[in-house]
Amino acid sequence: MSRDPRHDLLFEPVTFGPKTTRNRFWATSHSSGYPDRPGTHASFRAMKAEGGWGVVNTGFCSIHPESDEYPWTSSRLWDEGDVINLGHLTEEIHKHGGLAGVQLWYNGMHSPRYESRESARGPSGLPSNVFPERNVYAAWASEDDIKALINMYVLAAYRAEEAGFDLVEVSGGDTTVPLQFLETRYNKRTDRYGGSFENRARFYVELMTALKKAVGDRLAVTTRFEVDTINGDHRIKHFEEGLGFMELMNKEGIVDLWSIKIGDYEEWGEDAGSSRFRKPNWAAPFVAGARDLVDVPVVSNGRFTSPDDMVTAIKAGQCDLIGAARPSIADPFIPNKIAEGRVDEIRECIGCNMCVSRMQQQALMYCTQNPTTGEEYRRGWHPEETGTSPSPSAVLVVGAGPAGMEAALTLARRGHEVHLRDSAEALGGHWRAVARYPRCSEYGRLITYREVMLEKHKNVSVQLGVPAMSAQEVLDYGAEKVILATGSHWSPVGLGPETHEPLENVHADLPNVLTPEQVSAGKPIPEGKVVVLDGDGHFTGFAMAEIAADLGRETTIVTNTHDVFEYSKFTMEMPNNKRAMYEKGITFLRNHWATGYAGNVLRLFYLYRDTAGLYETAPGQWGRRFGDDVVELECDALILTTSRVPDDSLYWELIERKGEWAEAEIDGVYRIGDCVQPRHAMDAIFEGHRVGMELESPDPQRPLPFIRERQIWGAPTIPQLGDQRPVVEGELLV
Amino acid sequence: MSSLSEPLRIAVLVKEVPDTYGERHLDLETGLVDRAASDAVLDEIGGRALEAAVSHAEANAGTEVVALTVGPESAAEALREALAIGADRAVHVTDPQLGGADLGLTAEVLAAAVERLDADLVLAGNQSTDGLGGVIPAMLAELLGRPQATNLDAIGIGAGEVCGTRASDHGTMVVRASLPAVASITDRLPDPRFPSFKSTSAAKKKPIETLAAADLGVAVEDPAAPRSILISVAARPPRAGGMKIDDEGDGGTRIAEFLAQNRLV
Repeated sequence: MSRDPRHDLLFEPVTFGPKTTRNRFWATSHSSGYPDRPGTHASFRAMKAEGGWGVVNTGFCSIHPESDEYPWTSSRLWDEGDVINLGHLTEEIHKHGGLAGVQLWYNGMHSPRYESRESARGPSGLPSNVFPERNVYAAWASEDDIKALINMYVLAAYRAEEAGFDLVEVSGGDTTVPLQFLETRYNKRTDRYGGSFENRARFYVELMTALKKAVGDRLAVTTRFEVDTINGDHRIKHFEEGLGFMELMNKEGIVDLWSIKIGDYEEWGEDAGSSRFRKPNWAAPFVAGARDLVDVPVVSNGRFTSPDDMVTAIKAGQCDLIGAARPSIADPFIPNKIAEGRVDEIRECIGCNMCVSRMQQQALMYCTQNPTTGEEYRRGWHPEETGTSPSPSAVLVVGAGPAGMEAALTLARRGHEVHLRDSAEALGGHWRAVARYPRCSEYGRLITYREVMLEKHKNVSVQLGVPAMSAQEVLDYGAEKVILATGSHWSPVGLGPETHEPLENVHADLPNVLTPEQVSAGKPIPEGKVVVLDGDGHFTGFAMAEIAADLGRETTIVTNTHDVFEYSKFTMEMPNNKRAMYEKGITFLRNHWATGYAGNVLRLFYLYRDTAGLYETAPGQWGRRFGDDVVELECDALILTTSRVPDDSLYWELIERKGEWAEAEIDGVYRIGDCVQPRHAMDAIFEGHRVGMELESPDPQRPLPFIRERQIWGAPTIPQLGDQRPVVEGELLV
Repeated sequence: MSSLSEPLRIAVLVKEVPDTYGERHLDLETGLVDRAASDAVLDEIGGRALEAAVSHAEANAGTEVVALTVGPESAAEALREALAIGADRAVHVTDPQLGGADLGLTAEVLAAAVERLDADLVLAGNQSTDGLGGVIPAMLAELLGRPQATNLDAIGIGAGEVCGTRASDHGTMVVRASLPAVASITDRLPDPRFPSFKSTSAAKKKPIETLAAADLGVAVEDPAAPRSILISVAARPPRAGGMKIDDEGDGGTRIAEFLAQNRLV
């Protein structure tokens, strides 16, 4: 296949500052949680260069211990140690012909500094609204402090150059210090750095000027700018100060390229818009007109996965380069696939924000669509090259949900003879219903990608609509290896995470008790007051509530957790979840759980109805004084998203008949995904991939060790005690 | 349907065809299907006939199911699949002389093979998905001098007869034919089962008998026999660009007119 000529435009080189990129693909800066693991980080970023991205950026990179993001993980350019680690990263990116970019980040009042314990500086001495619970402030910066701040950026830029970066991108998004100066919300100064628009812009202008002077003839000096914080009158609006600022900077000629975005740090879910709330290129109306104001290239993001959409955005004058963070995670090979006319093979980002959610839990970032994300170095995985099995075998995969599909695909790519069987008429398992929940249609890409790829492999036979297999049929099948991916179902009796007991008088056989599967299958939701009892905390309970509310039911969510759909805090969807619930009149009750349901009364209890104090309740016996208050909630229909139960009966039957495996010539029976333990689809797909990659190991049920990166005792440290602090105080360095 | 006292031998006609779901091409020199241009698969409709026979055999011990094909050497693959689905053995009539054989000659060869097999019932799809001739079952019945029950949407094989239902313009007919007979089925019947690994490997050990036309006493070059003659062959014309209707307030009306003009409504 050759490239569609309509997509040629995407492969034109673009020059910015002293650098020229080979095409219009810009892998936008995004965090990963990897920087403390230099091998993991380098291999992850370099995969994008290998996949054809012209520019590959790291994640946000702290320029100085004063802006320490810990407990989150950023890159850092504090000292020589960071130069060594990031030097490895740029080398890997350069090997594959990409330009390497680093985002210089100083967030002052919004950096918790849990590692360095330093005081940060900022335009005003205000508490952070991003981390109010962490009690984080910044110190008012004097004019000398402002010079020191600029010097920190300059020293970081020198280190970036030493580490081999081609461009330094100043973060003027995510409410970093340049934005804090620009926004009246944070800038309460009355000196020449506060007040008028020009005064508030001064810091950003001086900063970019210094960087241009310091490295501008060798490195491109760019910025990622929040053109609209979409947050009300006292913030940045694109049609007022956002575009005005770009015009002003353009006159100064101190920016080689603009990467523009919307949303602020508090709600960076508007930049990383989830597919449940934002369709591809949702930022277009906010960035409109920006490109016309400046004489240098502009990058715009929009969860682009379709080359046609990319071409349209460029032709419409929205941007010169296509920025992508999440799509470049889900498929680092988007550019090469477009270049080679393999558009159907693009593993499209589904916009689920599981990547974001891991970052927000200060963990390592993974991807639902791409199970190799973060595993490039530590497990030696590659999203496009699985290698071939040294000992191909005949593998039966039972269940074609996320785990089963991925296992079958991986095994097929590695040359095994695979039969993937499911009693449903279509691929996808429970995920097929999920993709039909309101707002969740893009989730269906998880199935489509695998459907397309499975069709391309002759050595996998996809057998749908077949009767559910018995243990006997599995034994008679003639498979050498059997993988069970039989999934899970929502508890029909309200088994949940609070009490781990079924609810009294509750069963989905009753007409007024429903599970998500039943709602999807069309079981009518009785009229009146509907309660969604949610112990899951993610999107299913929300979907059920929205379905009920859209039918005109008065809908309430009851959950044991401290917040409603708590996982959405991590996916950055909580604010919009709450807005949508508010708009639709969906109410919620937190810290409560149910015990039973009778008539139209749901009996609940408040989790903290017992005493805070501990007492001698009987002679010699200490404890709380337990409360027995009951909260009664009127409820005409109960929808249960309490917990999921593995469908594992086939597994246990086969285990019981282990003695017959040898005669049936079965080497092993393994189980993956929800039938082992219910989990996020991301983790089910990971397990499917892993078992596919490791089927030849002595026990494929259990993972092989991966490379752990941490400081091994005895190596010299950087810095060492007694080292001097780099000097940033005093006059500007450039 | 009661089971038979005497076990039956059922000959199921199967065929290797270019994959219906892929691109298919004609060889414009010979007018024959360009087999190299597509993946070769077992014809679905023959698979359904086979499924009916195999299901019957499972319920009636001793029944023998023989897959029968006339086709090039490569058709052995389709026969292997038929064996994996559950045929007990296969007969492959292959002969360079039969390349491009028309429906009449094919029916003659098949009839001779059925006689040689001494099959009680010939079961076939109503028409192949490549040639779409749809007359082989009737021709066979004629040549064999047997009754035919064709285009069955449901089939029962019972005591000395084959029966089933057949859709007509006015309703559903119930048809019966006493054995020996020829029957054909439609795609209303279930898909063939997916062969398991075990049945696929067992199929490798099942016998395939290969015969040439001469083995069956069929004279291919019989000048007296009526044969169809290919007069011309042409590739499918490329698809013409569609018509674009710009909506200037009358879009709905114009779409309706277009549909009416083309007798689509």
